[in-house]
Amino acid sequence: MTLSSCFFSQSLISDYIEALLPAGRHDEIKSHIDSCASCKIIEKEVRQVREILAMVSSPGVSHELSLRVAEASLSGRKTWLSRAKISRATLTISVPILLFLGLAVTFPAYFPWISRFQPNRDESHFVRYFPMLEGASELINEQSTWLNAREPYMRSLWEEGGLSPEEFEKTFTPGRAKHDAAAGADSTGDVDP
Amino acid sequence: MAARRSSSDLREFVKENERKIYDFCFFMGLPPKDCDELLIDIFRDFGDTHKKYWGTDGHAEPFEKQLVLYQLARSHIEQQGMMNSNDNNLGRDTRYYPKIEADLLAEWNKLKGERDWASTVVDRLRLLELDFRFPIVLRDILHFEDEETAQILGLRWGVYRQRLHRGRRECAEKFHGPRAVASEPRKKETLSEVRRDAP
Repeated sequence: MTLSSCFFSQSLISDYIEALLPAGRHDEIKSHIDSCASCKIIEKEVRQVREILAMVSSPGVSHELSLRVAEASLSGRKTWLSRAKISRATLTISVPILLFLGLAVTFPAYFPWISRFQPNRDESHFVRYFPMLEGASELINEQSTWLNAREPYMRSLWEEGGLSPEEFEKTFTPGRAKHDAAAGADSTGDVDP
Repeated sequence: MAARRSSSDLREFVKENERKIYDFCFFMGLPPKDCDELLIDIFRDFGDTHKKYWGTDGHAEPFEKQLVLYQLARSHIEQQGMMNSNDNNLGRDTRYYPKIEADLLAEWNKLKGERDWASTVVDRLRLLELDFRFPIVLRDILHFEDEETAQILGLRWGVYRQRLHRGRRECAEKFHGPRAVASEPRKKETLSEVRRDAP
């Protein structure tokens, strides 16, 4: 026998002791162990270890512990706040909320009452996005009045046949028309420029 | 009716196996107080599993239940073992402990009568790695068959047998104690060492 067979037989000693090897291999290792002192020691040690471990016994389970074990196995785990339950509750609550919010954002026309929950704000916040809106209506009214009022004069600037500034002043000065009308009634003549 | 039969089955099964599961925890090296708590946890989880899988008809093969129970126990012990692991402790305890340093293989006939013989053995087993401790405890202490042990550990046959054998060799070393091991010449560990020294 060589050292290498020592190595292999040492790695098979447990199988040899438990008689798990084929007959030929078993005999081979048996003859090696009989002839080799170090392998014999190892075989003896492994047998001793098995013997010691087979004999050893634990202090055992007390009656109280036995009752607790029985109770625990029947009652199961009380998991009021288990990970699964938390996750299920979160999903149950959050999915409908997210769905509703998505619908409200996508189709705001169907949820007009949501605007009631907005904080009270004046219209100034629109100006931030549409600056021309601030006082736009007043400006437009004012300017259109101004233009309408001065239209004959303005036309005189652009076209022939418009009123001259003097005509304009005469025509549109407040109270002047009435005065002129009264005067015209007296002197039945056209307005003389 | 089925539920009542299922719970009585469960009660019987728990009664049959609680001692063995306690031994499993104890010989895996957990402190006795942790063993109590762990035992309750294991059986609570097993109760849940039992309700979930066998709650309606209550019928299952005994080995199927046993396999589930021991796999549960193994995972609990692994978690607990990792928490209790003191591998990261710095330094080493140099005090003399006769209980740790006695040569159990030489003196076991004398020591086996002592009251805390089991805890002495567990102290030595605790020095083994978990991978080697599991097969040894299941096979040599709890006397499971090889096939059952391999299934509980989720290992292939060869891997399981190799771990069992290496565990026994290391266990013998630990049972000898540090003094006996230090006085011996160092054994050739690797195949390359053996081949190098071969004539």
